[in-house]
Amino acid sequence: MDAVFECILLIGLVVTAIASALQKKLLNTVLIYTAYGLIMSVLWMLLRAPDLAITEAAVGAGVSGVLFFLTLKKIHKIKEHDSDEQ
Amino acid sequence: MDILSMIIDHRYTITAVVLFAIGMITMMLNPNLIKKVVGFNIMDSATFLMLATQGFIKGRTAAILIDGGADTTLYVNPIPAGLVLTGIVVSVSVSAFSLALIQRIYKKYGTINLKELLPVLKDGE
Amino acid sequence: MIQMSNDRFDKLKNWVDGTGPEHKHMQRSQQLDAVHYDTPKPEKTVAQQKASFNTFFKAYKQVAAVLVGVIAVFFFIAIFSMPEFGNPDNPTNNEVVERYVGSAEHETGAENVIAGMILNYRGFDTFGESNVLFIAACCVMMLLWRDKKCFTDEDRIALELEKRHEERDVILSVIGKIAIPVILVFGICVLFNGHVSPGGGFSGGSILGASLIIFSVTYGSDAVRRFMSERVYNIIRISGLCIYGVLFFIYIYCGANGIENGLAQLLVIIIDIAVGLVVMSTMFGFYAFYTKGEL
Repeated sequence: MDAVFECILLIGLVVTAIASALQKKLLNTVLIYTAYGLIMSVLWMLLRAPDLAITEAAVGAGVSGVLFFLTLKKIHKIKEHDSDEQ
Repeated sequence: MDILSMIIDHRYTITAVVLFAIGMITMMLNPNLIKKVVGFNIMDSATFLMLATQGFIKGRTAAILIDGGADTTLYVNPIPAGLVLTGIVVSVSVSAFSLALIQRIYKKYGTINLKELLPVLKDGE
Repeated sequence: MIQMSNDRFDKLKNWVDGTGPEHKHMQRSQQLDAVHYDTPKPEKTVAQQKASFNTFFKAYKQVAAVLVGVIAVFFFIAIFSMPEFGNPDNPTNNEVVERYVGSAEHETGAENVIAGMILNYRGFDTFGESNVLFIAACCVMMLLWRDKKCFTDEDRIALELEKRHEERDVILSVIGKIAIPVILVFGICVLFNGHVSPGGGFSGGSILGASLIIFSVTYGSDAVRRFMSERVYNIIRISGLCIYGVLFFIYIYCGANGIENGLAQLLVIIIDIAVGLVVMSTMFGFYAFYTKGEL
């Protein structure tokens, strides 16, 4: 049963990674990248490494996402009607 | 069924290689600079997944000592996790520095698409 | 002496910005060379340049795809000849692990084996990584510090827009009053308990940095400047790194693993707190320089 749960999470990792790379708007890319970080944090917990889980949750999904959003604000890409080409 | 059972046995490392390939393709082919940074981060994560998988032992628990380390066969191998802990923080440092560079590039040239940037850069300015 | 260091700092700033007196000299000599030695090249038209760029991009895409395919094939071949996943008889579980796990309690004073290992047995790696964090914050400072001398009109307009957007949001204020103290205390707890439970310097420092970011978003940058001025920020960063260096040097000098248990535990706690301070100041520095251009 453990293997099934891990397989579902790993497939979720691959799906979020592909989806994050194929988006047209940059805001969606950053949101899906934050979800990727969250699933990675749960995987670290399943591999019995709690230090890595806390660090990945705080840094990968938290601070890194905030830095991406601030950069997007500075380059004026958080408008509704502004769609960026791939 | 032999191939299927082999894939399920090596599920973590196969996912790590697939993620590495996805990250590398995104970093090399996408002309948008921010997607290059996201692809670079995905590559880093895949490497850490591959590394920390080598320390897992079935049936054992996390490496917090219960009895002062009397029985060492109760714990998972903690050495690869220590190496990955350094890597995660270095990865976020490099991302932050790349994003600062992107802000300055936008301020000077007005665009972050490589197909529009390269001709301007090649002319020299 | 202060006059001399001001001059040196000005020289460094001019060299980074490319506006020093030696650059004017180089531009002049380049102009002279261009007059005498450059033969006129036939200039490409705009259409020719675009065509060459298109062929370059097509060839680049194919070469990149082939390269990634070759690398992935090699990795797959390597995976299926690796040892089994989760086997206790793997070559990675050798006598080093038994020594680290068996002697972590009375040699390092930490019950969390990972924390004791990265601060004690592998302390040089963590020292290098703290240096990387420090240098990353310095590099972001160099790139994004708002230059008060050459303030263009765009900068003035951007500054006014930011000041207008800094009014306080009601929802953020109410939730901030409840949530920020809890996050702060949780961060301090994770930082101080790094040697007996999961956590440690990096996790605790990141949580403290995130709490400072939320505080700055909720209450404005002036409220943060009351207790985290530029001088306090620099003192925290530099003292964190220096305390780590000095204590680790003393530990190695006294014969590593020869110190008794109580003193080793105290050393691990202090070094953990130093690493946490460096990480916290780096994360908050990233946020501050991205939004305002100054601390």
